[in-house]
Amino acid sequence: MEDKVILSIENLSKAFGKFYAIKKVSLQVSKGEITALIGPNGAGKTTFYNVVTGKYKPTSGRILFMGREITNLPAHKIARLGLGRSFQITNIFLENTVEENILAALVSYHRKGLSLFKGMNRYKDLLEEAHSILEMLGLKDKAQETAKNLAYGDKRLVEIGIAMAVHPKMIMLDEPTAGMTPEETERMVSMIQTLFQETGITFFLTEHDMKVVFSIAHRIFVLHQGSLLAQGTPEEIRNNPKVKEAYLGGSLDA
Amino acid sequence: MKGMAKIGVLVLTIAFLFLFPQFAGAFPVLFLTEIIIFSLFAMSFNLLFGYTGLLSFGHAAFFGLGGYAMALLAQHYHISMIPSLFISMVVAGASAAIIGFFCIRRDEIYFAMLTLGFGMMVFTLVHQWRSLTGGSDGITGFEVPVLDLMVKKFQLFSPWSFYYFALVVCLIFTLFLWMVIHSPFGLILRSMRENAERVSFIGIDIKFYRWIAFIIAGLVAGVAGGLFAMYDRMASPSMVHWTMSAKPVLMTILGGSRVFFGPVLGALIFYLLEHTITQYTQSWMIFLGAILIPIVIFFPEGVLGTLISWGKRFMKGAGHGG
Repeated sequence: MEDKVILSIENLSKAFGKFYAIKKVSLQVSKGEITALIGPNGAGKTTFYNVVTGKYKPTSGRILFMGREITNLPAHKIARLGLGRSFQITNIFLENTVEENILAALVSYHRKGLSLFKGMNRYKDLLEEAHSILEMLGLKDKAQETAKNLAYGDKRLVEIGIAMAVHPKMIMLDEPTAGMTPEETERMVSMIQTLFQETGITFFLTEHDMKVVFSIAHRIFVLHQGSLLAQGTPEEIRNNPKVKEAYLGGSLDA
Repeated sequence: MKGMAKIGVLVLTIAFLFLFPQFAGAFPVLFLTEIIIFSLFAMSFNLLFGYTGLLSFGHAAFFGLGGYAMALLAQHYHISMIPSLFISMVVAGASAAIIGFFCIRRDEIYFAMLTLGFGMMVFTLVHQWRSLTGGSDGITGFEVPVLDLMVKKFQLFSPWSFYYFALVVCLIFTLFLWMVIHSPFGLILRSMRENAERVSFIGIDIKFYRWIAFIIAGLVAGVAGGLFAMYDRMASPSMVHWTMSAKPVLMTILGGSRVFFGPVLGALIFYLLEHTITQYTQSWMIFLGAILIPIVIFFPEGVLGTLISWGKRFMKGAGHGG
């Protein structure tokens, strides 16, 4: 049973001054599932991401990833252990090519970053891997484009590609469909499902679009005013009166 | 096609640089030597600025320390050229390792201020430590070390022979910087320039990488400084002054920070302007400022960067037309 848990959060709190953005949150994420974290705006979802992935230090509580305590580790060490993340705001390397965006992550994963004299273009294995990732994302034709020239939806895919390229055991996506048109959202959702099926990576995501959440998540956590309000299967969450109240009704049926 | 054009320009430029002294007098040769040395200095600065996204206002510290190391070695120890230059490089690199250790803890304006602060400390140290550095007089009156290439020894007294030596050294270190920039390490640097936070989330210790970049930039600046002290037959506090730190900044902005040879063209323009304008007035900085302002406003990519953009657009236009 313990082995099934990949990420375990114990009594996690994060305060900014006197304001607690996260209050004593405890939750466990199971390996090989798609877990969603939902909650109204300002519920503390992004803060939760930033604390778990090492951007902020928690005020109290513990975080265990694959049985190992990562509570106060810096971001790059947490990433190295196999906990990847993407960002709500597109956070890619805009002036570099699409291929270079993915390559940077591969260089890090394969520990070639301190190779100073061998040309990047002589690492055929890394280039091949980058191309297969871009192919999976449907971006192969755009490999040589400067990232800033991509359409918004494609930039979001590059974001996912960077996160995938470091071979994570678990990946945390922060609102992967934020700001997308319905078509782009559909493409992103099917991409996440494909990646999940092909790689078996544990997915954790926040999402404001309830239709997306209920269609792909195996398990859902609800955050409200910094505290965990409910957890369960999509069916259980849909019928939970406390959750309905937190969302002021209506929007859950969207 | 594009690659061929680039290689063609590069080969012609290098050929010109090697042939130039054959038909030029002492003054043009000296003038070009200084441009070549400052090109290397500016390129070393641009590894941090254009490629890593760190604006240093204290890069002259390493240029100057390389220069002082070189002058002290020439004055007291009389060892030959290559070992002297190597020691100067190591002195500059070791200083960069220490100063960089503190500076890379912050980025953006805070990094710039830290480098400026350390630069001023180095200047004060050099200026005050009379017994070692000669204070405001600097170090002069030494002989240029002999270039000992095992099979043959060369005297570097004449402007021509020193020109060739400086040219070869600068070409070697230009190649070195080019390789670093095109390596996986270079890709990580460019990614940090774009988005340092994202780089840490792919598992890279950004402070460590910035530190390595800082040390490499310091090493190469030390070589340029060592060459300059030999060229000038002098190591003086002006070499570590903050106005000296401003030179690679200005040259790089003039030429273009996102193009590898941008700082080289910048150095050339800087010296040509200085030479032309100082024939008419001593306050040439006013005119340099008047030229820099429109460049920054209208051509933020610098002269070379803008030319390359235009070239690309022209090629695209021609492609559509045909």
